[in-house]
Amino acid sequence: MSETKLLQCPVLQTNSQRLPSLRFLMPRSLDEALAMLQEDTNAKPVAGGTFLIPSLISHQTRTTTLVDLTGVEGYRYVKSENGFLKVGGFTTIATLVESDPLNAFDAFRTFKNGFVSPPIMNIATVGGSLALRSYTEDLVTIFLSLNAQLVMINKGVERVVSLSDHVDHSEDSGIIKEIEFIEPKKNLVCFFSKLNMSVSRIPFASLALKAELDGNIFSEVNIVANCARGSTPGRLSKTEAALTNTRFEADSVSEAINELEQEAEPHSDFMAPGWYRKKGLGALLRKISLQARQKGGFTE
Amino acid sequence: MKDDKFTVSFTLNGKPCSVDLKGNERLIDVLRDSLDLKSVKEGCGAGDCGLCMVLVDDKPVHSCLMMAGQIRGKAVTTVEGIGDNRTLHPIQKAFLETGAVQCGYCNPAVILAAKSLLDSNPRPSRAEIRRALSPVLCRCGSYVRFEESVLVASGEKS
Repeated sequence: MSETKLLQCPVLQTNSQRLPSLRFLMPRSLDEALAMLQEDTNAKPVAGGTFLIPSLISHQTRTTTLVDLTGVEGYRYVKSENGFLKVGGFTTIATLVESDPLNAFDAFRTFKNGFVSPPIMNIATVGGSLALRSYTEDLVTIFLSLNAQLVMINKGVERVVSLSDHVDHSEDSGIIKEIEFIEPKKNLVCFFSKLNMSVSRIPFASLALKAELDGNIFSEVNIVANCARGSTPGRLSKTEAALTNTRFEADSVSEAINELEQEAEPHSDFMAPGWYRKKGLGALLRKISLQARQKGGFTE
Repeated sequence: MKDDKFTVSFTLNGKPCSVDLKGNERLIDVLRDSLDLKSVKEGCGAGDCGLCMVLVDDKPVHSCLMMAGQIRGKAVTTVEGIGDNRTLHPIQKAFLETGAVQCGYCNPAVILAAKSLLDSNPRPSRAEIRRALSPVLCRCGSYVRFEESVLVASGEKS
């Protein structure tokens, strides 16, 4: 086939990866953005766009208007206030993981060094990731373990909700303005790990563990699985109970894994069956509880 | 519905640039179609293959995942902006020296990922190189030679 004919080939001229027709609005302030979203209830906010753009291309999300939040100033920060860390909702994941206070958490260091794709983290935002409330988002799992609270704004009304409540409810709850969670401290451990296929980085199982070292035992144990109930991330209370007031020694961890296998109900899909995810979560719990034990200064 | 057109100004390969956009255009659409920068390749369109990588304010991003309207005021660099047929960038020279070219389809993205790495970390370790280049898929499997090229360009290996 000649080059000219090849260029005329309809298959090569399809625009399968093009976005459908839409308006692109560029507000300069959050108030302006919220007014645009209120005016056109079909409009979608776009910050990083790393999830939304492929979703529009595949027609899983439909809209006629995008409201770009990247020109809105004042919501990109990581700061410490009254014993809490506050992260602006439009902060990029790169800024988050490169900030000093966050690097004090082993969970965020693991996430930064092993699991997040550099070009994605340069544009994807923390608020955008949490807004998805999905098992695919590592930050949801980590922030759930830290009991994060969200400052959300919807139709001009601002409210504070726990990330846990946000994950459990599916209705549109608006734009995430700020994320607040506990500051790192000496007796606090927080670890994260996941099992994924390397190209997509989407985990088929991920687990975060937060605990406080109280004397010579661990208390305030939070364990979060990305697929605790179906494909919804959540805490595993019976598993947490099995590890609370222990030193994460081998027997306690084995008991906790038994509880996890009873308690977790992961979904099955093309990536992995539910039973395999459950086994994966057990292996992750063994791994990160050992890391926490070592950090706590306990030797075998 | 009809797209509303608008104009954005930004810096492209070191020079000021203004371009008329439709609301549904991504950065890759504008670079390839309006500005004829064909080094930017579209693969998966979902941020998995990395072939569309460009530098925005010196940081690697997937141009298929960024709306064109979001580049206003920013500096975009494609491989056309870092060297030409007469004066190759040191990373491009290193690619030639080590033979890190097979089909070449992913090379612009790999070179930009390597440039971003070396600009911020002139003496990267092998692990750091692998991590920086990991977002780009090479169907020819030239990963080891890419790594060698970056080491050559960094002066760690002759």
